[in-house]
Amino acid sequence: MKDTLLELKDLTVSVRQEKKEIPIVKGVDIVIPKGQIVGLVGESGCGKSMTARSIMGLLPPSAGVSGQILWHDTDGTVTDLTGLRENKLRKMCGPKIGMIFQEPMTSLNPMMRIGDQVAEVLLIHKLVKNRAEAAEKVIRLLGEVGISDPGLRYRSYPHELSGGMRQRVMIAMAVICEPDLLIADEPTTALDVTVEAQILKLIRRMCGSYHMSAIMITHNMGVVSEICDSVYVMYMGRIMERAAVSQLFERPLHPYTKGLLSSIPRIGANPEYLETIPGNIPELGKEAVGCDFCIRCSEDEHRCFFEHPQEEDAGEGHFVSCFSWKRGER
Amino acid sequence: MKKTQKQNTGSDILRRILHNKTAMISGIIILIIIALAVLAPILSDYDETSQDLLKRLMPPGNGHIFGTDELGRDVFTRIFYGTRVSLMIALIPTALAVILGAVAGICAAQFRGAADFIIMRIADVMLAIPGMLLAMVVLYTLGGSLASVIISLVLVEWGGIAVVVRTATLEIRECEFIEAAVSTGAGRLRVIIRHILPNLVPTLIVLFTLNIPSSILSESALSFLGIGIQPPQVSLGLMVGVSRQYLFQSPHLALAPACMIMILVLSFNFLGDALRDILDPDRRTL
Amino acid sequence: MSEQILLSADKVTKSFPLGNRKRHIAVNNVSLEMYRGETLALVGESGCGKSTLAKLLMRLTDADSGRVFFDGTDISALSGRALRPYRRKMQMVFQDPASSLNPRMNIRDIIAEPLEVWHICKSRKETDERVKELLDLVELKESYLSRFPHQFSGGQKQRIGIARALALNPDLLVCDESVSALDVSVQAQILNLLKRLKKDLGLSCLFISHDLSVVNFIADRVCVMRAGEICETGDVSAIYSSPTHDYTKYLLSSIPRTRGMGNQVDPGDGVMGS
Repeated sequence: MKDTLLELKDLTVSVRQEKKEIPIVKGVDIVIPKGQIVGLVGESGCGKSMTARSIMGLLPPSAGVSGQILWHDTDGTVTDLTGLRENKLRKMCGPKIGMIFQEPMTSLNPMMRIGDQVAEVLLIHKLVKNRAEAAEKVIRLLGEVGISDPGLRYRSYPHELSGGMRQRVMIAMAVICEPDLLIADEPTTALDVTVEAQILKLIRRMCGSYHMSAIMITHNMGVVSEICDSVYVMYMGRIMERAAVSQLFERPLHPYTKGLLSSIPRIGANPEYLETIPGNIPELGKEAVGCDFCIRCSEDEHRCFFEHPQEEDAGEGHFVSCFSWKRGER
Repeated sequence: MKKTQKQNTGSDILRRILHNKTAMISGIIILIIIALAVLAPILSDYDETSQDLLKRLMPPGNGHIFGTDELGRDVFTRIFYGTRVSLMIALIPTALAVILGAVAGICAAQFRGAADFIIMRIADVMLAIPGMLLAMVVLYTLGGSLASVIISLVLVEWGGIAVVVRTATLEIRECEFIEAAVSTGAGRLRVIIRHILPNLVPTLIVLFTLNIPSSILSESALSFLGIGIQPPQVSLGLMVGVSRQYLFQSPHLALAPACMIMILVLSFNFLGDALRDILDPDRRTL
Repeated sequence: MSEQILLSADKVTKSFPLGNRKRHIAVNNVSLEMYRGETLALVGESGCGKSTLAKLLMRLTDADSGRVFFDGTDISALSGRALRPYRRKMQMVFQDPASSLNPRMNIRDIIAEPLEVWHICKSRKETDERVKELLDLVELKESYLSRFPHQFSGGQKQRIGIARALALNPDLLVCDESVSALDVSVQAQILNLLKRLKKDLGLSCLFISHDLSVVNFIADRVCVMRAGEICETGDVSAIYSSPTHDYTKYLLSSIPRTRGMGNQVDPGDGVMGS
């Protein structure tokens, strides 16, 4: 494929806990095309964060990874990131892959001026000749991510900035080396709605002006709908459904996606009660023989309990892993 | 990813202790030593005070496993009687210090204001004076005996415990379940007994185990200096102190009790560390 | 809905010391009225003072100035013993289901605690009966009674928190961001439960949230707060369809819209600087 940037093939991540292997991600295939923003959406414990972290090699030491993470470089070479050694992978982080985390307070060093922290990235990867050149570049970028008076702010410490401002600094840090891929792990969850809207707009703009692809990890369907081009819905470590964003919201096929969408209270529609998915998210490590969702599913049939559904093509780039999607189509 | 929470119910803690090798081994060693100390009169043919001047300073062997001391007493027997005293010193003052420290720490954290200030300043003063010096002053005033050693050790130890308990209590007070209890109308005493104390238990257990070795060492040092336990009572430190004069002729006299001190201290230290990992009270405060 | 005022605040102010002799004014001269049987929502962004205002209304902290009336009585002047009967009538459901339950108490003891504090049940058996009734009310199984909080998921813990709050048959239930920490599918269940309980038990509910869509679902009236002040109060339908204050418009325009799902809001051009 010519315009694919990153491909996850049958990615499996499991964590050892008290002598047991607990599968977190169970054979996930994801394709990130160049220049697109791909959403990875799901509830807590669905493995969305682990999937993204495995790309950067940021997994806990107790985790085991199998499968392939194929990086398609601009010169046409393909590298499997899972086979790379620690130091080689670190060299990718920055120039090729940038990452934004959920909590902007803990991901910045409280003892370092924010400008120096951003400049550090350039210096580590030897992309500039000296500090002065780095500073000049950082100040320009800080202005670009919407920090007013960047020359002055360069010398601020993280605690002097608001959450939204800190997240802007994180974004500057992630994109300063002009990476090909941006991984954003719940970048707006800790922020207020008004700031969230600004940050989303900013990420969208940065992706456009630097020709970046992005993986957006979130639990918020609203965020997906605002910013993403295509979306993968995850549940219990598996992809349940994938489609272009407009497709997914207009024609959700998987019972889980439908349940998720109808669970969100919406302004404008005022139902007496919300439609819900019954039951709770099962504990990690409890393996189902059949479909992972069958115990909470409203459209389950007999075989759901004994067979894993394979991914089926529903047309128009819409794929769904469910036996009964045709029946359920409204 | 969901963080798996450490579960702190009784059966669960027991299961984790049984799975932890360090805790199990050190725990078993401590239990064996306690058993030997308690059963000392049954296990030994000799009396810890009966002298036999004909058999002075005998090397190990000949019916005396560790030989005899300068008055012809059986060292093996005396070690277990000494361990009795040392263990008593280890457990009683540490327990008293933990209780005193916990009460002081909880009061300081719960009432804040003046009470907090006064209690914490007293604790600070106690912490500022070197422990040995404080203990020596107390012992010189009260005279050397088991009771005065206990009093001096409690005075030395409670301050540090109070500081840790206060910090831990303040942290528990921040939790929403305390606010929830207050908003249902629960009084102060109820909050302390039902909500704060149970959550302090892991911290207190770890504090207790980790303070035992320092009690043993302090007692040994004081008795070694001749101001702690007085003959004819025996303690491990006293045995080392007395045998100082015969160090070159009969090194076993000093080595045997010194080894016992080492085994006791190490076992309690390892047990304390293992318990801290198992119970996982907040690491920052310990 | 009867138009009887249950709770009202009259020009309450609360500030916190900031160091260097300045004070941060968390709640500034706020007056509001809450009617019996209604759900009033306090919305605003983090740091706008909505949680502090709720604590002032519940008398969990003391106001610098101003008065709070509950059922016609000025409770801002009451202290200690005199306040206790009012504590019983106002109960709270907290934000973090993990930290609002004592990890060392089992579910029965957690729910029974308010009953014991108030000596409501004459015997242990009666207490057990009441606890089971409460569990049933929040749709949890009786077999959970002897379990500990860590054995439950976030949604179940929040149900336990609700059961504890309902144990004393309060007039007013205060929900401080009670659904924000939950996953979407579970959040919907808890919202439905709260709405049903409110209807069945005739509760009044003060609902604090930053999430405008949640508020739209559950509230009858809304107070929009910003920087310690209430900038707009009104019926849900009015606030969402025709907001008058610029800040309200700005808030509404910031909500991420879910395409094709009928989020028809026209916020106007309420754009403000950050």
